[in-house]
Amino acid sequence: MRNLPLFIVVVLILARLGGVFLLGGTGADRRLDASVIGFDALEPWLEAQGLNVERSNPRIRPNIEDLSMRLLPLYDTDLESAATKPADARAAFYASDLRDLSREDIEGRLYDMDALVILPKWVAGTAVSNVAHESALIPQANLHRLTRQLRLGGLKLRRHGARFLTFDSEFGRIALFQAQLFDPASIPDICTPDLVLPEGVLMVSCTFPDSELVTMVLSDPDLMNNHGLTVADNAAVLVGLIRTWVGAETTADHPRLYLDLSGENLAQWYDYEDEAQDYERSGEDLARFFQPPFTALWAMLLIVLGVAFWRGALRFGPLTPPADDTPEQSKSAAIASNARLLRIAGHDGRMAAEYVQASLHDLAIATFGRAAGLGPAGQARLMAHLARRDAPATHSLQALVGRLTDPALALPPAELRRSLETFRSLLEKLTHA
Amino acid sequence: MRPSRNMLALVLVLAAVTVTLVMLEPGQTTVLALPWVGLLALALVDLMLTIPPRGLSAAVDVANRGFTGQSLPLALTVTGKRLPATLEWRLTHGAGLGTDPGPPAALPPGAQPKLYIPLSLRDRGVHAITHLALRYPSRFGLFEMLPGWPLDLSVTAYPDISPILSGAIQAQMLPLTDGARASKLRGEGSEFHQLRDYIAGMDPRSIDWKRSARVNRLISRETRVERNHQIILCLDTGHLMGERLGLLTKLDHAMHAALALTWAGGLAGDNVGFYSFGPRPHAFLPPRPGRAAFGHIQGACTTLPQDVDETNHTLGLTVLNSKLKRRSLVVVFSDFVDSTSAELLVENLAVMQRQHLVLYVTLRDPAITALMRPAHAGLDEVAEAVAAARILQERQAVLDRLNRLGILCLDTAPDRLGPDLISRYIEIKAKEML
Repeated sequence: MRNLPLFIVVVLILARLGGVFLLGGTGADRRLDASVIGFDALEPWLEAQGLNVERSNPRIRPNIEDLSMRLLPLYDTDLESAATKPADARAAFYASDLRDLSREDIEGRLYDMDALVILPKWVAGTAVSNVAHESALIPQANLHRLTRQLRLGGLKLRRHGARFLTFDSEFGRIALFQAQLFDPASIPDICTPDLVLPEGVLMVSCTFPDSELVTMVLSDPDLMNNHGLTVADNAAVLVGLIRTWVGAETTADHPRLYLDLSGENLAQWYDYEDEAQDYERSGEDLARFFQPPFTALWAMLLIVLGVAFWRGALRFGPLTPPADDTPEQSKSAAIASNARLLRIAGHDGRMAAEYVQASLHDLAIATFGRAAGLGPAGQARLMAHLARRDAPATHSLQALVGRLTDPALALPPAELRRSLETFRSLLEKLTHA
Repeated sequence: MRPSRNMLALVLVLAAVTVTLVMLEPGQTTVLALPWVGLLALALVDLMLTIPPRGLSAAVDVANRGFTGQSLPLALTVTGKRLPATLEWRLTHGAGLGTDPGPPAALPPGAQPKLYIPLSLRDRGVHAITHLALRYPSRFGLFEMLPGWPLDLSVTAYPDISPILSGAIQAQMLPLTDGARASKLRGEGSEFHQLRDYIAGMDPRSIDWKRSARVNRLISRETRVERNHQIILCLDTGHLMGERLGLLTKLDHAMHAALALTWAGGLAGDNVGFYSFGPRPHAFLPPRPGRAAFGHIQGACTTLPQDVDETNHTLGLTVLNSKLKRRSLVVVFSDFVDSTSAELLVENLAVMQRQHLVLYVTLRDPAITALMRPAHAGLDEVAEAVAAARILQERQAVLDRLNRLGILCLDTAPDRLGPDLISRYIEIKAKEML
């Protein structure tokens, strides 16, 4: 196949574009989601369990009304300040702001639909090192600041050491390493414990005073992240919990979980009622175009058109015949195209030399006849003849001819033009003097 | 009658004013209508003060025949109670006629003023003039009056024989027939002219010894240039001869020169025949003596068609060669574009030249010559001059090649073709090249 390379290139370009479109996000985002503290595994797992999940994509803005619940993992411990670039590798390792979010943005997301907010636990280095060391835990003070910024009051967290904390729930056994649970005493009034372990509360459901939506807060992300889903029965417990929240009845479209891994709120409201327009027209709408002040404009338009058509309808004299292609036109076209080719060739110096020689040759033959005017002898005779008329001018002409016909002397275009004009005027002066 | 440009401009201006008023004062109908009512009133007054088209009548008079390449005066007489100061005219006519409607012409004073319109005859044949249209402005210039009249006129254009009628050909031939040149040439020809007494100083070889012995005194035999030679005018009617040089095509220029040579040949006592060829050969008029040939050739020229296809030189010249039994002067009027397309022409002329004296006549294009001498030596003009010079050089190379083959060549400008051809004919006669 002759166009195989081109075909391959086109396929690769389309594949790249498709990949960019479908995968979405930046490279750093994708690396984070695929790491042990990311949530890449959540979507296929829930889909496999028959739940409908839509993952956030920067190029797709779903309608909020189509979504049932937002799963919102947080990677930012300070919603009121923008993330700063870490100063060194150590700071980068211990950074707790992996996906910068603003408070307004988060509140907007929480007021859109029911949501499950997953609090962060591990610093950035965990994603790279894959080591769940105690030192890689986000300081609790930061998490307390985060809960305050989420308007969860004095909700506090407690850590339970470098061991697996297990709990047998109705859906299976939960196992959490370096478990991070809410302190039951610190749960505010707007929240109620949802999943209570002997050591603390794993999840609370909150309802903000100015909203009817339920916001659940998960204290330990290890129940759901890529690493935690593989531990004990965490995955089964998660599915059981979600089914409890969204109801038992599931269809192809409902419930639709929205796994929100984006740095911005992509879900939007579509108010189709606002966009809908009544396109029904009546005859009165059309009639309005023929009522004042439009009548004046129509009348004016008719007058202008009438005068213009009146003038155009009456011709003075016969039709102008079309120009036929004649031999003289083809000859002039041939000369013009030849001249154009000469100019395009870019050898103006040689063209000027040919012009000078042709002019002198023509003049010599016109002066002495064909027999005596031909060749260099004819040209010499012409110069002698001109010298008798005006010796200085002839001398200048000879010098100019020498310069213009010298193949070794390449004159710049401006000087070439000047020299040609001088040659023409000198020749005219000598022949018509 | 139709609105003039002024009227159209006025309407557009008023339309713009109306739009502005509608935007500023939508309810003011009276204000909106006022300028239009004013324009209507002005137009009505203008029409009342203007000479109506039906108040004019026009008559056209023109000669019904003329020579191609010349102009006939067409007299246009306009009559009426009142006449416009200036008017323009347009004639609807066949493609073979040409008019040059200029700017509006002022009518000369008088009750029946006449305008003379030059009507140039571009092609041979009968050409119709079917309509006359006039145009004059209304009093205030808001309207154009367009009276028109159908015409039923025809003009027949014949090949130009004005040099013959004016005696120019005869004057040019005088040196050969009766003038000083003829007397000079006496004794140099090969045809017997007269006997005369030998006078000391005359060439002793001219003495007719038998007659001198009979009358017992020296008698000299005087000869003159031969007569009754055969001249064949051979016209190429192919598409290249359709190129217009000035008003006429090359074929028409060649035809006029051929007719002049026919007349000159008759004056010189030669027999003149006529032949034409394009893609196919046309009729051959065998050589006839003197003026008898002229009428036939003139009639043939009048109806000679202009072919639109390429000339077949081989077929045309071979047919002519087969028809000629006696050594003749064959004058070929033809044209070529470049050396490649001239190959067949050169070959066939070379074949013909073995038995006949061939004079190849071609026309130089003054426009190309003018290109070689640009008024301003810019590089674009110089490039055109070089391109034109190359065409002329190639053309000259073909003519040089014909010359080397012994074929006489005449390459001249259209306006010089007739006189130059007669001169060359006189030269051929004088040198007894036939």
